[in-house]
Amino acid sequence: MKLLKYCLGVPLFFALSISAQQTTNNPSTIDISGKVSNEKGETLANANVAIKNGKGTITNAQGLFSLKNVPSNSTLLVSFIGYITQTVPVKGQSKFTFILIPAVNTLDRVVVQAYGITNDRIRTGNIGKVTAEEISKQPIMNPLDALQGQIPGAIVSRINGYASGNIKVEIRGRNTINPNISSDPLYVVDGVPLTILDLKGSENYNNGSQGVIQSGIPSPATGQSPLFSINPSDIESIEVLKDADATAIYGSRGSNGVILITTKKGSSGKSKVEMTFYSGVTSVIRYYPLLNTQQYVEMRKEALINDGIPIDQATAPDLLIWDTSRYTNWQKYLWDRFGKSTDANISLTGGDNRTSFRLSGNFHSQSDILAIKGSNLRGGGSLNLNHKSANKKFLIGLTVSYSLASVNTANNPVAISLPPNAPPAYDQFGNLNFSGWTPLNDLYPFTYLLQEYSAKTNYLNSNLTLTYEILKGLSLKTSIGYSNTQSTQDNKIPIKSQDPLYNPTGTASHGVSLVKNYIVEPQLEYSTFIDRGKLSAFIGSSFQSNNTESSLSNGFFIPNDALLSNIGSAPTQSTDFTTAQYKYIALFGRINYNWTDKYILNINIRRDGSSKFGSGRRFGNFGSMGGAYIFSNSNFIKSHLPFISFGKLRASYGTTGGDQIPNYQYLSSWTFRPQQYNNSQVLNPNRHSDSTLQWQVNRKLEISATLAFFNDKLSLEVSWYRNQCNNQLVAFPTPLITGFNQVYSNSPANVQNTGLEILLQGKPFRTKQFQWTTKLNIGINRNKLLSYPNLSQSPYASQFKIGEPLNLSKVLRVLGVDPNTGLYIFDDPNEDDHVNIKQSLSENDDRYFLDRSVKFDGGFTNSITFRNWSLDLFFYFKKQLGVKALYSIGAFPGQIANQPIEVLNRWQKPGDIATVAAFTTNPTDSYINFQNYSDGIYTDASFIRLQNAVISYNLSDKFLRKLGLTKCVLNLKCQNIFVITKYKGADPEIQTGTQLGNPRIITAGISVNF
Amino acid sequence: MKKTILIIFLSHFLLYGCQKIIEINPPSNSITTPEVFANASQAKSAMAGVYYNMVNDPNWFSGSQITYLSGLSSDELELFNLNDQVVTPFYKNELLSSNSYINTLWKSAYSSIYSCNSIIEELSKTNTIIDSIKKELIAEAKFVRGFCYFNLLNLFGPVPLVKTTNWRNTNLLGRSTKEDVYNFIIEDLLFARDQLSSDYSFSNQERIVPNKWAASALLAKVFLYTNKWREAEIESTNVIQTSGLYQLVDLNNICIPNNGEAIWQLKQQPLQTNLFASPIGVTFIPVSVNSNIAPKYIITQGLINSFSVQDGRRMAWIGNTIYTPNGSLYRFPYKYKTGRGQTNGQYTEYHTVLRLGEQYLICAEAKYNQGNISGSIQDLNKIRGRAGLTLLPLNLSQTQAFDSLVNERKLELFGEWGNRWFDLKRWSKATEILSPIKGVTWQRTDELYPIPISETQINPNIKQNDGYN
Repeated sequence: MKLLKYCLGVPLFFALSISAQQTTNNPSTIDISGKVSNEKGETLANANVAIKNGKGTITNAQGLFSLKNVPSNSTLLVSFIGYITQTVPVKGQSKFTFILIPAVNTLDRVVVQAYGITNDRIRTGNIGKVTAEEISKQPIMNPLDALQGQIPGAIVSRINGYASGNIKVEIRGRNTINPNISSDPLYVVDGVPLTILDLKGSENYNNGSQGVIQSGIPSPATGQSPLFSINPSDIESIEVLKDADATAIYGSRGSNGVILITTKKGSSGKSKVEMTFYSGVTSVIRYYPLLNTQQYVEMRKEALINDGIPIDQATAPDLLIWDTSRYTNWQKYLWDRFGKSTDANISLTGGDNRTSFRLSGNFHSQSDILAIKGSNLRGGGSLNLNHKSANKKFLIGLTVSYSLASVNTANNPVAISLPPNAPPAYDQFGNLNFSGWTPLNDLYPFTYLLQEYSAKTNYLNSNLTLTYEILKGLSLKTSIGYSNTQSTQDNKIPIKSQDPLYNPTGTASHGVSLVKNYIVEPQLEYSTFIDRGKLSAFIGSSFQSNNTESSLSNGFFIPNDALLSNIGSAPTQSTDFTTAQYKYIALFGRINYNWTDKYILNINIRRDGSSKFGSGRRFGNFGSMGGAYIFSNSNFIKSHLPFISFGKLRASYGTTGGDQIPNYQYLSSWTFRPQQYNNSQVLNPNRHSDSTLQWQVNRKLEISATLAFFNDKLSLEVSWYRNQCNNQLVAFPTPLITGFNQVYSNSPANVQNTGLEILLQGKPFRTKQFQWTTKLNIGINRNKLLSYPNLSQSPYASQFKIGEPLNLSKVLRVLGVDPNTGLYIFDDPNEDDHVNIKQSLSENDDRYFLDRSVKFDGGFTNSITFRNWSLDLFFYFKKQLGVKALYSIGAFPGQIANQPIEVLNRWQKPGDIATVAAFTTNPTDSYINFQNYSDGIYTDASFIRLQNAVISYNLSDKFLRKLGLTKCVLNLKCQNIFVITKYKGADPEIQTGTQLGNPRIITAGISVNF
Repeated sequence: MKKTILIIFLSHFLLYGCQKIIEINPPSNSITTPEVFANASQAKSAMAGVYYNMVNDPNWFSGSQITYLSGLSSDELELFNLNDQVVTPFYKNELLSSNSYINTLWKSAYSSIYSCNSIIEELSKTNTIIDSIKKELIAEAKFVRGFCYFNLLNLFGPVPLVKTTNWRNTNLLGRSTKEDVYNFIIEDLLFARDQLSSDYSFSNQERIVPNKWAASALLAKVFLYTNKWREAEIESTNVIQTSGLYQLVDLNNICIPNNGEAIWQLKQQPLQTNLFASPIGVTFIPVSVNSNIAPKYIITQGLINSFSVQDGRRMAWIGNTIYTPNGSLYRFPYKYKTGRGQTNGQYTEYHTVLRLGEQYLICAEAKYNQGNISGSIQDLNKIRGRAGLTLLPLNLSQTQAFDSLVNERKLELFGEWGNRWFDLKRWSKATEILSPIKGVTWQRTDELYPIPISETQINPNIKQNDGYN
């Protein structure tokens, strides 16, 4: 604690005292003064005015500056983030008015960083950015979809095709061996962390968290992404913070990276109305080709004959009791329809020099491609207000966003594997056809068709910032944020959705999840010039509180479907209330010193306390140091490599932490259940606990080079990183004999991610008629378990291997199908003529480790504008292995379940060379080993997808004037147009046969400004 | 300037005070372990939780799982539909360690053991609960713990003996020996027998919480399984005679709540699909008889044939249904009369764990093994008499007596708690009897179920049973 005070305090005092000393006289110098403003006439505070290779100063709140003893033959550099730097010779002049022009190239545009802004030229950390323009091209509902393939090193994947569903985000690889912790980064929306506590322990690495659905009601989309409530059109930019320099200031929560979402702000000038509208259709991209009835019947009969089983009503009810002349393509039955997608936005911006505002309203509707139902609606509005006092010393900014989202959908019946001759889903009276499916009633999956799931989510996010300039360069700022997400879910299981044979009764559930986040962050900022360099320092503290609570009411035995909406009428009811609280406190600071835009040093420090840990273990220190060297200012580059317009080397190292575990894990506790036994309320133990839980620490190292060519028309950033994560928080697997299968604990595992990220972007051609913008990015990550003391005596002994990646499967190598027996044969490295599958590593095991990590992914965007037309194409590509879709269902070719047409290449008689083993209804070890323990179920699931294509037409000025408009664009936006892949299932990204795939969305729209 | 310093210092003070700021309320819906055991009512709730799970959770060994799974593994039951990938391997004795019911059998037993361990540990520490209640609850917990280990041992062979809730001490435990596990069980049950009350006063005269006689009854069974004939005879005789609480009842009433034969029953809660029916009734009784719904579990012809025509149990305990699609007759266990969806807000049956009938058979076998054949036949005749069979003469030869004993256990205890499966194994008759029925799929190593794969994967010290991966 004392050390921290020293670290933060001393440089600040040091800086203050130096700045007061700079007064010397020189006869050939003059005193200058002036004002810096932008093209709208708004004055710019804290802009830099520096003498080239000399001292400098900053402007005050009114945009005024003065510099004494300026050599009269020197040159002034005037700069402000987001604007083009002006170079002006003094020439003896003493009064200046600088009007800065906003920058359009990627190097100089504003990049939001933690508690401030920067740009690509001077930043010392790794920050990826997606702009409003890039977001607006995609007809998407969840803003996270816009990140896919845009930021190297951030892998964004959809868990399922439901519009409201979860989206998994992983930045720079998997950090922890814990399968129960999601890879989600910290989301900060307008300064307010979007934290939702996992109340039901349902979060995991593969599927992320349940998001706003915390009541325990199972949502068909396996949760609801919290960002589903945020309107993509209101977003000004999304920044992805990756390395230590960019994330260390978020301390304990920066280990998985940070995503900053900044909404659009008001701007002064003439009031402007912007309206956009698009509407279109959604549809399925592809289906999985499966057997038709004739092929299915052939497969089944062959399997029974192979097994020597007589074909009778008991062994083959699907052939002898069901009608084998029927054929249904169950995938098409469920998914083949056009859904609708509609989006409308309107915003009004305006203001004067002291006050500006933006007011917007929006609506989006999108249907899921389930044939029965699936509607997603969102409507909302946002307000941003900025005001400056007359002396411009006091600034106030307020942002409020509100949205109401409604999801009405159903579970996706697991129908892909149904026999193609299965009876109809409905009988002739329009009721669910339970009796028609006898005797295979167990297979009937369509009960979901009549079960209703709906969720309504209110989301409010607000942030108030107050800034007061105490002295020139010194200001006090306080940011106060509040967000509130309330979601209600209803799930109804009516009598009519159940088999009448069992005298069913109805069940209704009503769940409410409530998430409240408060944050107060007082900060003190100071900036000044010290000699030729600019020092910026700030110190702040953060007080946060999060409350997540849920309640669930269930009504059972409801005798009449009309009463389902009234749980109070149910003869038996149960309720459950769960709440969790998370508090967080931190002190943080940053010192940045920029020496003539040539050498930049940046230091972040944070001390954090979190309530996730027991007392005595709550606080941790985190920090980072980053530096940049801009070498393009050297004479060598200027004279020998003039095409390099900018060159920067930067490096950073630091620590961030993680406390991503459920609350109260350090406490041993029991929970009451609503039932009784022997007149006592039932209590059950919850979990193992570990009172010694503490922070997980990530050490992040990054080295990066940025080059820009041809007057910054094209820029290239190449970054290499190495992250190590140890003292990991894991759900340590415990054998069931201990009572529970896991305990949250710190693990000695040290996991390393190294990777390379390449980002090439720019506007290589830019004339009045023709413009070409391009962006190519690739992220490659390699992950390995660096060390694990005594791994062989740990629960991970059979799961991980030191030096190997974490996403491993231990599998037998399939050599093919034995031409003599028709069974799968496997590689036998220990040559004992026996397939050995041993769980303990000490014994012989014929399996090898198969790495299932994503090898690389990236995006390639090109936009071409010619006169009034423009075309955008964005390809997303990903190299990965995947599970063959039908194995997720688990049936063997020959059993009562449909199969992909590939199975027809099966073994039938001795001598056959086949890829699929003989059909069977009765799988023996060879089949079981194949499906459970072999590499035969994995396949290349790499793909290239035309993720987004937009054609737009800008109405010419002549028309616009006639119509009284300032801008009018007609566009055709398409999402997920086609996929190129060797993968056989419906969607190589969502690799299960049971979930909805990503829909194709084609929309036509118009955007009007006036 | 001074302001700045002030603010910096202020922030620092705030941070010193922040230990307080980040205190959060304890979770609202749960209570910490020490709080649970700070008062008697909550401690009772903890024990209530153990019983509740044992009977209501469909994934608990003690619901119906142990009964139908071991019935399939032995010669009692077969399956109507062999397409079920989870249950069929039990019937074919071709289990994999990844079988999900193997996992639930194991997991549920150890989960109950955890709760019992916690109750025993915490009650021994607390001093805010009066001794009589403490003793009662500890004894109940030890009884249930012993019951769980008894079943684990007979399903999986020697298992790890977990005696504490502290995972750091148990997560690398290997197996104990069979002898150690039995000694531990006996120790627990002796404690329970000596501490539990001799009536049902702790459960309002309902027989839903184990008492002294339940402990004796289970002890008798454990002594029988460990060839401690004298002790087995003493304990079973205590239940039969000394207690004065139990008598054989009509064959149709052996499962009704608190019937005279019941020593320990578990009271199920009405659940969504099961209404008030017991877990066994739900499992065995088809939703409608003589319809196109077949029973899932069918009594084997071999077992049917073992009943003589006069045997009242054949009528009372075996249900018949004609499966309309093929007109065949199928038979299912019918000791419980109420199945899924058949009650209207009434408990007609409780889940019966220990009953007097079994005690007569234990006593008979214990006497037989001490050479008291006539005493043994007298006990067998109690059971035969109730079933409406002719009584056996007291002068049977040793072989005849043993065969009658084997047969009587088979008929009286079928479809109950894996008795047949366990008997075949302890009499070393499993291979002799099952091999001809099951054919090539039967192997000697099938007598023990595999340890769940998840256990051998994460605990390097636990060895898999022979014959499994």
